[in-house]
Amino acid sequence: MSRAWPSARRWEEACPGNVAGKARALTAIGPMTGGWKLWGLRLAFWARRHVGWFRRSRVKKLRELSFIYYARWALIDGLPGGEGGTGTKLDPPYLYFESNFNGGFEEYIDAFAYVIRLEMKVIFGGVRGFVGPTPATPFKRFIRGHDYECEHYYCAYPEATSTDIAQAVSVRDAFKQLPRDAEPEAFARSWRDFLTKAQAWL
Amino acid sequence: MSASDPNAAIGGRVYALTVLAAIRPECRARVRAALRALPRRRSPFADVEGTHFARLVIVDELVGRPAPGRQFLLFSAVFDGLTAEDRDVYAERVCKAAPPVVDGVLACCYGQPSANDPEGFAAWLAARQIETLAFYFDADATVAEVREALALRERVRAFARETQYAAAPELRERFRRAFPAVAP
Repeated sequence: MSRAWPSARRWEEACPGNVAGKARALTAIGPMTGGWKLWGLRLAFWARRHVGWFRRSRVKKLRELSFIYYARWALIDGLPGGEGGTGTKLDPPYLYFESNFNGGFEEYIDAFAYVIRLEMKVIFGGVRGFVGPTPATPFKRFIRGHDYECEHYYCAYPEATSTDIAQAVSVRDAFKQLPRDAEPEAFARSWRDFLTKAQAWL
Repeated sequence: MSASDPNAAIGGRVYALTVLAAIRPECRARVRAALRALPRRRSPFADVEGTHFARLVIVDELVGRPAPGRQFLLFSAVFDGLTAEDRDVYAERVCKAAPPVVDGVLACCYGQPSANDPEGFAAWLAARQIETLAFYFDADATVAEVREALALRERVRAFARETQYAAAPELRERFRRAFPAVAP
């Protein structure tokens, strides 16, 4: 491992560039081992893209966690050269993982380690030096050892968590159904029904 | 279409742009200074319509490899869009609305055109783009929709508190006054 050992300080304190209001930026890049694990990863991502039930099952768990706004994975096959294109081929490639989430880094990785353990094994299992998702402490050290601090990080809604956004969208959708032209009594009933439905989102 | 461009979220309306570019050696010191000079409270990306998230990262070493002796700049963004054409339009918006990013930071990279050349900048980004393997999103909404929904929720919350004892005719009238534009 060529990068400096992660700081003992909390991730948010050690890397303030990764913080924008309630949003946090995780940017991890690590070398794959190649072989069947790399092909397993490619197959899993292919299935995620092309097999609806597989994708929905993966997404469902992440949505239940409800603290990730956006996340992405990619493979870096080469480092760009001076004039563009691939300057240095990376074989096997490097895995790129980026997440925009809210809450603490510790809780975030804990949830990854214990709630979507199998997915973590598939995704990071092929990265050199992966220690497994549990216990979570070595896994956190592994992630921090591959994490880069943002020099600049922007979030369009820094005061909202991903849960806030999902709830606000649900409120909006339910609100649109209110019959504003109904008679007063009918409208009042609809309003009460709306509040009953939306109270958990407000 | 969302299904054909791997960088677009399946079933969503957002695009994941990931760009890795080599930094010119003579700019090594300048690039970090230029990045830190970008205002954090009022990021230039706030003026680039449709940007949900954006980040700029210097990659100066890679785990498992000897120090490359070179630096790379990682630029990533999540924005409203679905296609490569949307990406090019976004690049033009970045040129127009965030010249400190294009001419101050990205200008430290090889071959990067100035903000005065949006088409060239779009082509430059495309040539250095890393294809997304998987892209997860939580809520399917544009930036404008997210902001509107958050604001609406606040207003609904306040309205519910204020009208909890209102009789039906008053409730409807106050509702019509409070939500003239957003009510269907």
